Amino acid sequence: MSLKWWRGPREEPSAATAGPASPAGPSGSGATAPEPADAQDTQDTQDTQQDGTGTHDTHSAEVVTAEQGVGFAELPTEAPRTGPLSPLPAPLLTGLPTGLPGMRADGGLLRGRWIAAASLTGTSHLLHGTSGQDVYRYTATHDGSGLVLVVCDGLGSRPATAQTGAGLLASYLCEAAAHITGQRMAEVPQDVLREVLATGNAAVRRHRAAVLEPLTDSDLAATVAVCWLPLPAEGEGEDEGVARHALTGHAVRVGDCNVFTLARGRYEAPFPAASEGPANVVTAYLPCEDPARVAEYAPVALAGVDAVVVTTDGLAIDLFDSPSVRTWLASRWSVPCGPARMLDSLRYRRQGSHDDRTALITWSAPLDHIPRLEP
Amino acid sequence: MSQFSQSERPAVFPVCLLIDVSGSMSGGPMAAMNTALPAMQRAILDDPTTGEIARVSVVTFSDTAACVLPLSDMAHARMPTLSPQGGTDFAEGFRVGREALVDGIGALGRGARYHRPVVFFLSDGQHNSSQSWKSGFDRLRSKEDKYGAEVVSFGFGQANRDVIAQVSTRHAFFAEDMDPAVAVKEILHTVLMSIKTTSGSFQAGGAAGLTIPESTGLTPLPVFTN
Repeated sequence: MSLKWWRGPREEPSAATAGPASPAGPSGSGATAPEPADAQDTQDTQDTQQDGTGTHDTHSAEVVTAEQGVGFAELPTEAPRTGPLSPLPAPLLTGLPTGLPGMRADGGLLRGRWIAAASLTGTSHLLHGTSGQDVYRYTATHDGSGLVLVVCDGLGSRPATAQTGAGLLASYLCEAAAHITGQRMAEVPQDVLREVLATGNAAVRRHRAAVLEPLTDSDLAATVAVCWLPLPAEGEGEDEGVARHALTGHAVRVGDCNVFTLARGRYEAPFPAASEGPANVVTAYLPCEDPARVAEYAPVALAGVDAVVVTTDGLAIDLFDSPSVRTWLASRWSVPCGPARMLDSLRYRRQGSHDDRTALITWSAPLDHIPRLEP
Repeated sequence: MSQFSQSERPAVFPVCLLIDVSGSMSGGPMAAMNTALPAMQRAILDDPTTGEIARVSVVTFSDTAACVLPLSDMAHARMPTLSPQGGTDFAEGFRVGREALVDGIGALGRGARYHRPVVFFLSDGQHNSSQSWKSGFDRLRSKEDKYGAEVVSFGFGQANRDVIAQVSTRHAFFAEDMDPAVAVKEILHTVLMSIKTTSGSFQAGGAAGLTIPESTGLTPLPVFTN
């Protein structure tokens, strides 16, 4: 007799906790086990389905636990739920050797700046047992002139290999970016960041040729955003340092990863808006033959900015298209976050939002001004 | 204009089922169609990554064409019951199919985010109108048009294989030596799987797009893109 990990067959949540799916509503009836946060909130979901516009918060006190029959327990969240939502089946983990962990998070100081990051595998992957494909990395330049934040998003059309490409690209870009000097950034920032992209791109291609044959560039395809932010020089006061760098960061990207600034709850996006038309036409990625041709550069104005956020498209789209997500995240990110808070900030549910979510943030407040946070 | 929407605007995936309802579809094929469409609706709703973004319209064509289901959220749609009538005019189908997409996407509101539309074209017969279908097809699939669609074609019965291949952008299939009712069932199953996998791919990272799962009962036709 084989050992069971589950106590008997999976059960639908009881009417008292979740209620049956409405046959006429978008909930459908094929879910084998809802995610806990959904289960406790089905009545609310049905409410939003009726008007199709609702946004509301969950109530932590009502969160379903394993003992109530959904099969697994999860921590409560106050993350919002927006639009008519379908119940989610139980997540399927990938057995792929190249698969990424489903969630990653960080929070801490680097060169006196607080950095927090979180990456969650999207439900589109969790429903099909495929790997998330987002990767983040951060570094400080060797000369201490700046922080470098990098996010990469492997292309979904290469489910077995693109996360490997994203990981390699992020690592090689950070390695190249660590050699950036403040002097060159002050003179030719666009050229410097394009050189970083070219160096990282070439390194991935060399790695592929040496170790990963017969994979092609497109097997490792990933979109990317790289953001350099100035740090005050050693011995230099915060105000002097900020003035010296003219309050400007610099970013470069390939594809639809993005950079945002947050100032008193208001977002700005340095890169230009996508033109009107279909959303799924993404043709730029790395590695490729000519990274200079597909790279976009944007200065990042830092005057008055509280935080800089670098994201993959799964989160960027939600920031652009959902006022409730913007409000929620601005609230959560109004102070420097620890890793658990960062993860929780990405636990919102939004209609049609099933891609991986990754955010890498640094706050402008220097060390002295950062409050101590309990988890 | 701000890049940031002041209202919730989830991206949608517009789908148009462009279905031949000429007289030759009478009997088993039409009955199979009317059984399969509600089943497709239920299956779309059962998959959150599909049900939350797919918007489906149904356009029928014979001598004339009609949009019998505007671009709709499957949660709130009532699938139409189709009935056979008349001859076969592809041109009318392409014209009304495009209108259904333009009207449906336009109704989403200014700045609404949507993925490239996909038209699934099903026919068991041959175009027998005096007007050419080519200009209407070119307009429907135009990449320069922000409403331009991918067209996936399926033929069975008396359909002409060469023409079925021509009325597609990348993917065309023919149900060989198959009972027409069974062919309809197989084709709509493939359409459903394509809607689901394509919806999922949109939400799994950039450069996603139309995918057609393999079907044992359908023969891929060579398509010459231009």
